[in-house]
Order: sequence, then structure tokens, then C-alpha cells
Amino acid sequence: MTNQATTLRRLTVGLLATGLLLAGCGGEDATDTATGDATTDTAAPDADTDAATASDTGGESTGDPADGSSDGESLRFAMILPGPIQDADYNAIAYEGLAGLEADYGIATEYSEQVAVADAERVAREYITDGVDVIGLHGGQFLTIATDLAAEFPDTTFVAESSGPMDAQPDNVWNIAREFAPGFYVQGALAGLMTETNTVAFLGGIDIPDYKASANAMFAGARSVAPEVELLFNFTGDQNDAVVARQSADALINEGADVLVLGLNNGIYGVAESSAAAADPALMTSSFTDKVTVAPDTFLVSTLWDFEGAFGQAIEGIQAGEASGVIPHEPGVGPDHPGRTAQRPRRRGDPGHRPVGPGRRRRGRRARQDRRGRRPLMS
Amino acid sequence: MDFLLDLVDADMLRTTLVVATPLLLAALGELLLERVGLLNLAIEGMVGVGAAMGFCVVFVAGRTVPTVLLAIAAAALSAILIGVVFGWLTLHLQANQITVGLALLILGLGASSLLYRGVVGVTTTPPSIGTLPLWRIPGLSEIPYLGRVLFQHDLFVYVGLSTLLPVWWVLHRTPLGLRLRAVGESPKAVDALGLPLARLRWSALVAGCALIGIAGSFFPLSLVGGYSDDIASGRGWLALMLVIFGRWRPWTIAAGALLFAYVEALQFQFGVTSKAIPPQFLRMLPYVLAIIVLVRVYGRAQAPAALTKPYDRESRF
Amino acid sequence: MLGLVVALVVNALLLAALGANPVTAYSTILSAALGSVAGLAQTLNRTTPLLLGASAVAFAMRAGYVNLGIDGQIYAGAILATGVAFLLDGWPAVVLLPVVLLAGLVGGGLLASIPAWLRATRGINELFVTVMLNFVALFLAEYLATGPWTDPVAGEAITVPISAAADLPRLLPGGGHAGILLALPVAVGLSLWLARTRSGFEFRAAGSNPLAAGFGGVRLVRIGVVALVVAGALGGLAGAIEVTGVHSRLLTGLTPNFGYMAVLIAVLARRSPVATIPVAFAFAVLIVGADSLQRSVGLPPSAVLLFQAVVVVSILAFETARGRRLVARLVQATRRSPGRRRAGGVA
Repeated sequence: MTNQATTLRRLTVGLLATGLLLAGCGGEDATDTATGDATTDTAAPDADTDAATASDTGGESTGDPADGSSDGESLRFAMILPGPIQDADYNAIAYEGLAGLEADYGIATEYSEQVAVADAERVAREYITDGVDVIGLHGGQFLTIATDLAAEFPDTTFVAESSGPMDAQPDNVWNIAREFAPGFYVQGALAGLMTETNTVAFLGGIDIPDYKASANAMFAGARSVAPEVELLFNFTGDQNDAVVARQSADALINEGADVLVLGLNNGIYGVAESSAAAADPALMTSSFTDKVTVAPDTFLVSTLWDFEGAFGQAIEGIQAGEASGVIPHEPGVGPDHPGRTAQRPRRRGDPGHRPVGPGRRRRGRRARQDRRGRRPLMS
Repeated sequence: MDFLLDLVDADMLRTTLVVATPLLLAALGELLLERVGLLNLAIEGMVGVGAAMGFCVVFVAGRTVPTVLLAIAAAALSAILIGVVFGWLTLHLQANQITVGLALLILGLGASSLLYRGVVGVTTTPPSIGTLPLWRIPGLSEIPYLGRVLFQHDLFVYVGLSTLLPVWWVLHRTPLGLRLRAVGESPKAVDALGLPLARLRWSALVAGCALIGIAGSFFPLSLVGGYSDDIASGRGWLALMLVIFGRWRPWTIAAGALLFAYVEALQFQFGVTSKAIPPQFLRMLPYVLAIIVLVRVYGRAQAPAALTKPYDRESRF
Repeated sequence: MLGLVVALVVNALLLAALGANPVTAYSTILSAALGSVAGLAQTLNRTTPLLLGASAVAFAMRAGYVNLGIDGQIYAGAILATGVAFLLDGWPAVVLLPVVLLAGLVGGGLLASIPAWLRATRGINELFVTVMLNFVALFLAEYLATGPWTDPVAGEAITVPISAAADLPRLLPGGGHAGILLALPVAVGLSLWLARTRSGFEFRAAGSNPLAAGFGGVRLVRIGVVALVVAGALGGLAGAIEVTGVHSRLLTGLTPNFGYMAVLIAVLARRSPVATIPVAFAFAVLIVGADSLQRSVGLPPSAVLLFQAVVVVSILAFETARGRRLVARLVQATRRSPGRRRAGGVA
């Protein structure tokens, strides 16, 4: 094909794919339970409502059962993040969601970042002692802590993340059951459509069952549109090591892959470089956040994850009196948020926003690109 | 046959050179330090700080030739800053080098993350500064196999790899180098001869830390174009190990760096084609290989005799 | 002591520069780590692996061997402990728990026997080998946590939980486990052995002057092996305790910075196992307390790292002999008026 035709083809397929993704996330329009659009400065917080809430669901709820409206001060939510909030990835999206949660549900939020598994229990206990009502644990490695602490503190509600149904889910634990695979199916189909060498590859980090399932889903998707496509995969062993990601991507590109579906976090930087330096640049996809800035010329699409919505659902349920539930978290399923605007860039003075240092001076082209905010989410 | 071809694949060898560059730079820097008797365990922190500084300068000022040079210089300076604290504590106050090194390691890790947070902040769109453009040496880069492997890199790689020559030359072919090495073996002897002991040590310290900082800036500027908190991922420690592995000699250190980068690249080549071995065992390969090579080939390695020993002119021993 | 004061002052400036109130910060540190039973329990939890690791490193250093492989030994012990717990699932706790802990000792000892053997037979630098083996053990743990033993529901590199019978009993409310009861006697026992027994004496002799000791009939090779293997075993025990006491699972991320801290503590305690007890506790207080700064004054964790580093560096600076002389000079300079020097004074 001529270069022009190639570009045109890629553009069309790219647009079709994006349209597909956006359409796929219709989902159910959730009932808007009109909870606290009150801001966090409602006067006279009723500390008594908590005590008086001998909830009908069995005494474990921490919210108001009756009228669905919550007083801003009485529900405190603390988020425990395993990594840094500046990673522009998994942790950043949870952190950014906090402000939305405050605005939509009238709760008070706080967070801790870079919490190692060995420290998470202690951090959670600190929050509980401090009177936090709901503890959010952003990561499957905290699952045991959630279940253990839930047994010890029946009055606190926990929102945990996992990759499937929990065996013995306690009565005060919400489970955000993340499903990575469906998103990768779509990316696989896209890869199958875009490939010109008829070889696509999945590049993952740690080869946990989740990512193995994602790889399989990606293959299924690719095969569904291109039955003869050759499928490669590799696991680097580290989600964030860009150097090994680069070497691994090199190996895959050498074997002929020209579309790489990535199951990495910060390792994507390395893949971008590998692709740029290769004789035939390969296209790539990613997850969690939009990473087009990393590789403007070779970036295809990203599955954007919305943890604000998932945690919001849990908080909604908690405020309605349910201390336990399961939130299936996959592309295309999820409530629309009341009061959720398309993105606003982070501002100083936003709740939960803690600037470090005398202030950030932003100069140059790069700064404006960063302040442009995110693209609209899928769900 | 395919398997053998895989072993010498041009692109893989090319990446090997690129990945080996920061290892070599950091290891040479550490070599200078250890040759004058300073065991610098803060190397990972210095690399981190160099990476953060290099990234931030280019992020703020854009990517042009002068700003990239400025970024590299800033990275070197920030590593030197940590090195000065190290030097003052260990050379002047004679504190234990291991503890000081570890403490400064933690300091470096914290400072690099804080710097990035202060300059870039929290964002969901990861900023990228892009990497240096490749410079295909006209003529030489057209050679079918070697051209791809050797002559299609960016300037940082060329200059980085070639620092081997001046370091080796100075250390082993000049009187200055002889004195530096003597400092590491017996500071007392050097002092007794009336040579400027402190000046020798400090100049080696500054030069070594500069190299380590520059190695750090290689990661965002040339290798990956971005920055994340753990961008060096243990490569600072690896450089430290390479100095021991290379028996404190520049050329063997360089060979070690290349070997490590090569095996690392190879493991991914294998990972793609053969699925029988779980990836974690492949990742162990470079380290196990290093031990085996050390055992088989090198035997006893002679560290500089006065490594980690503080020198006090007034003491009797 | 002055070092601590300087550290506090510098950190106060640092905190103020980052927009936090130093007074709140300092009071939070102490109250978080020590102000409640739960806090104390968590501090003790954190002390245990640090103490074991530091004793191990100090012990090996006494014989003249540097063991930077604590992280790997922790993983090795954790791996074997978890494996044994799975294997003997169903046994009663009275038997299972000791066996599992023993397995931890064995695991760490096995891993450390490699550098020990290499050093004994070929004189290979153990510093290098122990660091390399750190990675090997880490990858092995990752393999097990993502492969044969993995828990698919967790979605991370983490194994299925071990049976409750294998869990360490909880000592204090707030999650404090009984590991500290194991660690303390170990540290004390090591120091006693070094100071009071004949073999302990040989051990120390080998460390301070191998040449003389060799002439005196001390078997250096055996000492070396003992030093490294025992150090490794203790690291493995720490790993087993982490698995049975804190997580009930094997996972990557078991040892956040334990290796460096252990070496730091060992050197600060001047290589005496019993002296590592207060130092390890102080470090645990610092770590636990400083970490809570994130929540109390909103400091990012990188600033917390800086904070810890400044404390250590300041203490180091002012506890050296030269540092003390510097201090003495400063103090004298502020006392005297300029222009008058005391004759013969040690200025």
C-alpha cells in the first residue's frame, strides 16, 4: 500500500475503534441518589447520627439509611495507595478521583501514598483509631488486611479491590472486582485490525493470573478479527522498569510484532523508546491513563480506568446503609456520575490537594500540555 | 540455527550497548571513588537524583542542545552535592563509610522523588521529554551488520561508552592515576611522601560523583524519555557490583557491563521464543551468571587495601 | 546526642519549608509510634525484623564478614516457611508453628551457605555474592507468588494464605505479634555467646586480627562459614516471622528497605548484637512515626525519607570523634571572647 493509503487506513480504523470503545460504555444509567451535593462545610456535623444509626442492615452501616442524604462531615473516607500519586498511572487516577468523591458525595477524604504491604495494616489502624469511617485499599495486595481488619473492627467499612469474587467476604467489606480482561479483548481486536505484519504481541509485567487472563483475552480478540494472526507474548517481571520493558519490546519487535498491547504501568516509557528506535516502529496500547504524550506517533489507544466511579458506588451504598457489596469493575459497566464534569485540571486549594514546595512554576509548551486535563472517560 | 542467530541479533546487540552505557558510567564513577578508598553505597541515590534533575531541567526548559547539556551538568552537580556531604562526613569527620553511604542513599531516593513532585507534580498524563535523536554516522552506519549495532546511537551513548578510555588512561597511564591508586592502597604512604592527600581524594570524589550523576541523567534523556520513581531499578547497585566483578579495573568493568546488559537482553529474546522457562528464572540469569563467572574466571579479587578505612594522620597505625 | 538535636533542628526547617508545622510533626511522630498500645504494637512489629537482621549483620561483622544479603535471606526463609506451612497443612498449631519457624531458619541458612562456601573454598568476596543472591531469592519468591502458590483473587504477586494454625500468636492488641519475643533473646544470646564463650572469643579474634588468630590456632574458615550461615538463618527467621505474623502469605514487597536499615543499625550499634536492640527500636519508632507524618501534616513520603536520612546523617556527623571535637571547638568559641587563647588548650 502507499504511505497515504496506509495512513488513511490506520486513521479510519483508529476512529472506528475509539467509537467502538465509547459506544461500549453505555452501561446502565445509575439511579442518582442525589446524595450530598453539599460541600464539606455543612455546619454542625451530627456526630450523633452515627451513633443513632442502629441500622436495619445489622448494625454495621456507617451512613444514614433513611433519606439518602448525608451530612458532609460525618463520613470520613481514607484511601491507601500502594504507589506514588505522581505516577500518572494507577495511583494517580485513584488520587484524582478523591476530589470528585468529595464533591459528589459530600464526604471528607484523606489518603496515604507509597504504602508498602508491610505498612498497610499499621496505616489502616491509624486511620481507624483516628475515627475514619471508610477505608479504601487501592490494590489487591491489601486483600488480607481488609478481611483481617474487617473482622476486628466491625464498625468500620472497608472497600477492597480484587480480581474476582472473594471467598468469605465479611459483612463490612465492599469488593471492587476488577476485570482487566474485557478491555484487553477490545485492544486485541484493534491490534488484529491494525497489524500489517500479521503479528501482534502482549507485553506484560508480572505474570499474575490477571495478566495471563488479559493476554488470553487479547489473543481471543485478535483472533476474532484476524483468524490467522500470529500471537506473541512476554512478561518482563516488573510493571515499572522501563529498561527491561525496552529490551523486551525489542525482542518482540524483532520477532515481527508491529502492535504491542501493553499490560505495564510506567514501563511504557521503555516501550516507546524501543519502538522509536526500531527500524519499523510498532504501535502500542496501554491502560489506566492516557499515555499518548509518551509516544505521540505510535500510540493507539488506552483503556482508561475510572476508580472514582467504583469507589463512588461503594460510598453510595455505604451512605444508603449497606456495608457490603460487590462492584464488578469492567469496561462498559458502571454508573454515570452525577455532577461529574468532564475534566477539570487540578487546582491548588482543591480538597486533598497538597502542594509541596513554594509552588510550581510551569513554563513552556510542556506545561500547557499537562494542564489540558484528561480525555473523557469511557464510563 | 535460529537459536544461534538469536544470540547475535543486531538489534539486541544494539540495545545492549545502550543499556550498558549508564552501567558503565556509574561503575567508572564508583571505580574512581573506590580507588581512593571510598566505598560509596549511596550510588543508587545519586543515580536517582541525577535522573530526576536531568528530567526536570529538560521538562522545564525544553529539549535543545544547550538545555540538554545543562541538564547533564545539573545532574552531575546534584550527585556531586551528595558526594560532598559524603566526603565531609567520611574524610573530614571520619564517620563510618557504610552508614553514611546508606543514609545518603535514602536521602538521594527521597530527594529525587521530591524534586520530581515539586517540578512536575501530580498528573494523569505522564510527561515525556523524548529521547535524544539518533546520530547515524554517515558511511559507517551503512555497514550491514556492524553499522546497525555500533553506529546508530545517540551522542550520549557514544560519549558515555568512550569515557572508558580517558578514565583508563588517567588511572593507569598517568602519574596522577598512580597517586590516586596509591591513595586507595596506603594513604599513609602517600601522606608521608608529601603528596596532597586531601586534594587527590576530593578530586577523585568530585569526578566520580559527576560520572554517577551523568549516568543517572542517561535514563530519562537517552533511555526512556520519562521519569518514574524507581527509574534506575537497582542499576546503581549493579554498578557497584560491577566494580567488584571487574576487579577494580576499567576494562574488565566495561566487559562486565556489556555482559550484564547482553544477558539481560538475551533473557527477553528467549522469553519470547521459548515459553518453557518461567520469566522469573530468566530474570535470575544475569545474576547467577555473574556469580559463576566470578567463580570460574576470576577467583580472588583484590580490593584496594585501604577501602573503607578512614585515614587519620595523627594515628599511629 | 548533639547530633539528634541538630537533626531535629534541620528537620524542623525542612518541615517548615514544605509547609508543615514542626511541632505538630514531632508530637505526631512520638504519639503515632508510642502513644497508644496499638501504635506500640506496630512499632514492635517493625522492630522485630530490623532487630533480627541487624543482629545477624552485626554478628557476621564481628567475624569480619559483610553480609548485605539480608533481604534475600528474609525471602529465602519466607519461601521455605510458606512451603512447609502448605505442606503440613492441617497439623496442630503447637507443632506447626515451631516447624514453620524452623523452616525459616533453614531457608535463610541455606541461602547464606552459598556465599559462605564460596568464601571458604575460593575466597570469593561475600559482599558481591550476597547481593546477587538477593535478586535470585526475590525472583524465586515472585515466581512462587505468581505461579504455583498464587492467589488469583488478589490480582497481585501474592500467595494463598497459610493456615491459621501457622500464624504467630498475637501478643498485643493492635496486631502486635509475638515475634519480638523471639528476636530479643536471639540478640541477647548472640552477645552473650560472643562475650562469654571460648568459641565466641575465637570468633571475635578472627574478626579483629585474622592473621594473629590464625597463628593462634583459630580455624578461620570454619568461623567464616558459621558467621555467614548463622547470619543467614537469622534473616530467614525474620522472613518466617513476617509471613506468619504480619501477612499470612508470601508476597513480593516483604522487605521494604530492611536490608539497608539492618546494616545501618548494626554499624550504629557498633556491631554488638545486644546494642542493636535499642537502636532497632529507635529506628522503628522513626520509621513508624515519620510515616504517619503523611497523614498528620500531609508530607509526601519522599519528604519522609529525607527526614529519616537527615536524622541519621546528623547523628553520624556528631558522634564521630572529629565531630565531637568540632562541637567542642564551637562551644569554646562561643564561650570565650575572641583574641584570647588559652595556652596549651586542646582547641
